[in-house]
Amino acid sequence: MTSTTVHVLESFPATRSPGRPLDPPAAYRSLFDAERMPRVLLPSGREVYLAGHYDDVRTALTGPVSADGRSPGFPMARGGAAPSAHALSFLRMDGADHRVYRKLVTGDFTVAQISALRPVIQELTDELVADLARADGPADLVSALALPVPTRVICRILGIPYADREYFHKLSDTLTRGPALGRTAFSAAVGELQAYIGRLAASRHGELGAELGGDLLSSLMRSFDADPALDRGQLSAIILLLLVAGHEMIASTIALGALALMTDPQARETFLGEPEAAPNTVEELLRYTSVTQWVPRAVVEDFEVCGRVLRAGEGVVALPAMANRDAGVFPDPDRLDPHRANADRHVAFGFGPHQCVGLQLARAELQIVLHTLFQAMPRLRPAVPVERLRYRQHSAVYAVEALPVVR
Amino acid sequence: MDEYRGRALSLVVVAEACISSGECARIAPQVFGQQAGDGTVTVRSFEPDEQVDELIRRAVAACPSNALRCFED
Repeated sequence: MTSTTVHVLESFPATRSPGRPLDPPAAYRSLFDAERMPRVLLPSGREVYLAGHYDDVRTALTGPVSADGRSPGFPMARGGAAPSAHALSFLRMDGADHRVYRKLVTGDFTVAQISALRPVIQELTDELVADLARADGPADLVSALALPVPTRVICRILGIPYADREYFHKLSDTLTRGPALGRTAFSAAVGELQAYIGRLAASRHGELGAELGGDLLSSLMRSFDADPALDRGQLSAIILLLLVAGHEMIASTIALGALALMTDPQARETFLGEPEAAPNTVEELLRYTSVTQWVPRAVVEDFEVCGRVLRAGEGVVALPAMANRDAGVFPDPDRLDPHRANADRHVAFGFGPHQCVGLQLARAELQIVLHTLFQAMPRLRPAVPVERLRYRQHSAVYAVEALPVVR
Repeated sequence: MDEYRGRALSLVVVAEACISSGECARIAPQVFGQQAGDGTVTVRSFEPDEQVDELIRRAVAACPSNALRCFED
């Protein structure tokens, strides 16, 4: 076995610099300057490999690895026992189980389904942007636009009342901040959200009898009724996963994408002036902001990543933000380039069998919201010095807490 | 597993490995589609030329679950 220095990470995920809030943490960069796959001690006491080169991230995430938190060696950020079985549904399943439950929902997120949803997203966005344009003085872009659009859209897809948003936002905050809050608060939030979704499902059966609607909660209820082999506890787990993932990550990327465009006039000009470059600009923003902080996996069979053998029972953490700044794949990686030829090769949605289910939805929302926003307010800018903005540094999804803007 | 043989490039589709990301259908919509039920990859038409071959190569590289492979002949 190769002897390797074990580096101690004081905080995990590591902190991004307030002066360069969209760049990966300097702590990661110095680790990877010295070593291809550094070995680190997480605050939880687990020793793991970090994968941060583009090819290594793809190899690690497509290799013989487990996403199940109960697998030996799984890189927990927090201490304590593994979370209750499959509380986050297929996000934490492997193999055939993962496939069965994931495929129950993928039909609602195809390229064609999302394309059909675009007019709905556009209408919601137009309304919110019009409100923003009428605002006197600074407005918070997160609460006025970046959060409500994806929340309304995912509520509509799932069939969850938008009126309940404050309730599930609070719980979902707890879930994504998990590492900073500790296991008890995390488990309590999972339990409460699952109970909420269970009540919604029960009331739907009560009110509508057999006449379920066309939303995903209804179609899932039909699938679970039709197949007794499915674990009924997964109904609320799946809805919980889609609800949290469906608004946290998209909201964060909308806000940070807007920040990137506000602070880079040249990129903004290309985005607005060249409609054919707009989708690629969004890919570049996904690459540049990379809000998913880490993707943890346990190795289940020995395999090689860039010449290093990872052994069964070891943990590996993939860092999409580092892979997306790999100069070997993305030349001049710290530059935001709307014309970058391979921008859409980014791994901002992860890679491997667990790649983000909602990636086509995220793209559509980013394209529509950012374009509508900057077209209506081409001179939009931060209302405070950028260094003063506050970020969710240690949550599963990197995000800006609030983004005050003026026209 | 289905194989599609072209003059310069052959395509292999392993639907059992597909996780319905839709990346192939986004990148090369003239070649790839998705089943209505669960979004699994379908091949709509395979009439490769140089331009289509290039899109197929990109779609294969973007497939997150190795459901697509291609071979240069």
